[in-house]
Amino acid sequence: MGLDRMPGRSYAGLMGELVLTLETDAVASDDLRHALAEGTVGHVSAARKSHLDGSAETVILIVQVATLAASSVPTILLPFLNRKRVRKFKCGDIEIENPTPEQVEQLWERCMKAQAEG
Amino acid sequence: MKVGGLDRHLVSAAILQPAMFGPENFAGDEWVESYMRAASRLLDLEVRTYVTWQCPPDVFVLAAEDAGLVIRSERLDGLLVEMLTLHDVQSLLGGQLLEEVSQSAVLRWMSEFLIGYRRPALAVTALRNRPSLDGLQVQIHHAFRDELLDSRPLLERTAVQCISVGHEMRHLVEDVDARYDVWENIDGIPVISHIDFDMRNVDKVDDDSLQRFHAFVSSTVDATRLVKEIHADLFAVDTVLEFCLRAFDCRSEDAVRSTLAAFETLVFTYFLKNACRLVAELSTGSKRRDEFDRALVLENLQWVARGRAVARHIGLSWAQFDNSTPEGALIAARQNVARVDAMITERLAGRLANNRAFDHAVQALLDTLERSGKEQITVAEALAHVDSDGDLRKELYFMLVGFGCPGSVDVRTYLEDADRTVHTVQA
Ligand SMILES: [Zn+2]
Repeated sequence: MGLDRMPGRSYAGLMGELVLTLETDAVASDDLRHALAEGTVGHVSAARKSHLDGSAETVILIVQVATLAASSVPTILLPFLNRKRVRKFKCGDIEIENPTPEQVEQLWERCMKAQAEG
Repeated sequence: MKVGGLDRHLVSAAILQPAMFGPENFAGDEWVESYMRAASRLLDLEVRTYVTWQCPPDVFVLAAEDAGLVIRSERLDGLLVEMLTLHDVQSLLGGQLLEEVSQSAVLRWMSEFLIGYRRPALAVTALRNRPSLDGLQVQIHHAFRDELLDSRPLLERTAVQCISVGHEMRHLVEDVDARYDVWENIDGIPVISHIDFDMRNVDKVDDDSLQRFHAFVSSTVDATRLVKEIHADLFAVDTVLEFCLRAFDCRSEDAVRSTLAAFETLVFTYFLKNACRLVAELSTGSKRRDEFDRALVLENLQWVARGRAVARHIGLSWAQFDNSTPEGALIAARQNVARVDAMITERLAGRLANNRAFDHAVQALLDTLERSGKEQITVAEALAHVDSDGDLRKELYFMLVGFGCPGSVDVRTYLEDADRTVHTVQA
């Protein structure tokens, strides 16, 4: 199946976590998954999405980001956003299609703040 | 029932806002569920199915960690059933009326798909391009899924729902890394033979032209995708045919006819949706006109190849069902391929009318795009039409109710939202 977890990391000592959801081009998904798992000390789950309309396959990534590493997310995503590899970015109750780096930064900031305020 | 665990995140991320979702129960239809269970066992795969509503017709699959997820919109089955109904209606009509009824239905479906591609202005344009059928008592579209499903005989509607589910389920087990070319054999015949069939048998072109065509096809058709689609098609028709035979105790001829009709319906639905994606890409400037034209021709070639591969395959399978001896099956196989061809010809008039309606619809949309350039008609302009035209508004309202939106849905708000790329996700 298209989904497997990144090598486990200890969550001990990391307070809470933020859930970030992405839909990305299949070609970029492996690189993005590794970058996110490394950079966020997080847990990444992935699922391959096939469409009926002949458009290219995409991959959904669900990232549980450790709070202490959360601020690194926009930087990790930047090269992928610049190459327009990210189709959707979702955090909390907001979803952005074809997001720009600025939109991601703003929304992520908001999500981190909401998390900090509990 | 609440969806838990990772599925909740995955499905929520995959659907088109403002869609809602929940576990699928096929409107209580035990046959489709029973087919799915059997197909899962055959594929040795755990499958969980979800239904989405408040969204245009669509279906996709997610290959998740522990299972395959099939996600279908509530509207999809309704649309498939409407296509079956249109075919019956078409068989009673001729001349201008046949053209107009077909155009009206095709434009309505394209309008739905275009909303799904976030092109609400084009969706409104498509609806406004519909010929007026005032005074004509033709009811093809219904607002509610149950009502639509009940409008067709059990065998037919089960075949059409199952073939769509079966096709998608087969995609879940395909080898992602497998690569194919157009010489890949399907039932002992290379795929290219299905693509060049008309050139060899109808146009009777010379060898040089045929070779040039092969070179063109090899360099332009995504053969890997095509072969994977054919694998999914063949699995779907085989399993649906066998399921219908056993579940409904019907004549094999009736099961074959319903399976063929179901496949044809699926083909046209998917073709329309693909074409709407191309129109949407053209309208945003992500495809040029020459790229669009070429992509549409290639789409068409591939659908023709799929149709031929399936027709031949059904003929061969049918022979197996009716004959216990290899000799009997061999003789029957040849005869049945011809019988299937005859059944396909029975449906030709409707198919051609749909194709003409499609050409007409696309041409009208392209004219709109070309008149006003890449920016085409704006959403504000489209909404102005919606505000001033009560019939159009009513049409759109019932379309949205057909998507599974609540009766309180506001057409204007829905279309404005469809144009946005930032959404608040509903809990
Ligand atoms: Zn497919």
